[in-house]
Amino acid sequence: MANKNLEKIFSEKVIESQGIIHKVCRIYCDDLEHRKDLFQEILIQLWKSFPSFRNESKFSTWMYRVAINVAIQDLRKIKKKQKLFFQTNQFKETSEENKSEVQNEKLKLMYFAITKLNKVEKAIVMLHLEEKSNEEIAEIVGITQNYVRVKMNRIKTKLSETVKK
Amino acid sequence: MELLELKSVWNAVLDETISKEKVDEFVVEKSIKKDSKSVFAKIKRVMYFKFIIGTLSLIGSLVMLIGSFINPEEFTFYEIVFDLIDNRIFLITIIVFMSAMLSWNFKAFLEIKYFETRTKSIKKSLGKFIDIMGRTIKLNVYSGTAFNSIALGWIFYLVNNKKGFVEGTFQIALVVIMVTMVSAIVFYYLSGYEQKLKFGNYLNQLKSNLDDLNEK
Repeated sequence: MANKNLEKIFSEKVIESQGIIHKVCRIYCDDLEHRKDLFQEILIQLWKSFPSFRNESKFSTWMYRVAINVAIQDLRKIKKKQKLFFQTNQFKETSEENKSEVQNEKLKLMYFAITKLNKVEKAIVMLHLEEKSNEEIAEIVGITQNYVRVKMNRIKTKLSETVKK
Repeated sequence: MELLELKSVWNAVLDETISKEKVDEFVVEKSIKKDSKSVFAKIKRVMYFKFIIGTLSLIGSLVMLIGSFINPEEFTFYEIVFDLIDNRIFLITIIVFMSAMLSWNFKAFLEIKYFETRTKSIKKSLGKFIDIMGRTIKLNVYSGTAFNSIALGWIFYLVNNKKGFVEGTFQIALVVIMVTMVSAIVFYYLSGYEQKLKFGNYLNQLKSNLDDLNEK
């Protein structure tokens, strides 16, 4: 009974903040099947660690931590023929509505550049795109705020360099 | 500017993804009951198997050893090549090995279970994950090496008793020890290579991610 209650509280909270899991899955995988697997794995891990969540941090911070940890520790190999997500129809439809061809090309390149980042850099750039403060990024990642700034500058340079190539 | 552009596309892609892949409570409750496919979940499944085999072997060997004192005739096996003392030494070897393997595995199992239920920052979690993985790999290498070399030593002893290649207690003991030691060296490298093939690249990638988080 207690477990059923906990399950209910858990699923309500997760449903409310499921966007976080979708974001993490989206930045780490393009392949739909892989994304579904990762989504499920994150849910399992969130459920396992939910009893130890003590409200010491925000629920969203805790969710980001668990989700990114699972994504980073994921062993599955990415298929070589896998399409990059800037190439998917989904992206084309969205971008075609709003952007000119030139801009579209530029953004495709930027997305391509993101796929060239390592797993940790992807996490930082995603949190940055989510407009998280440096303080919160530092709390989730476990580095100092100053180092978050340094990392972001390096990531921006890396992205620009990849785009230029 | 570039990141701002990226952000607008990121938001659009996300909106589309969330609207298409949104889940309800039923999916969440069903998902959390499924088996995990994580590295640690797989390692734990192997550990469960080891616990069953190890516990059964330990109980069996204990019963046989106690039985060999109560009723030696009933509890002696391979009488043609094993005498009562050989039997007891063999059973003690299994008991010692299985007890050590079970306790090390149990310790590793508890550590993994604790890790899975505690949430830390990405950096701390990555560090701990690499640490536990490293120790689990070592445990696999050492237990595989010990099991295979001890088994080979005993197999050689058994064959020698049957065929009589070497004679004299001291000479036999020396050759058995040599066989065990040489096979231990071979199995150590083989197990290490196997683990490297399995997890080498993966661990290196994680280590480089962790290294990236250390302030330079």
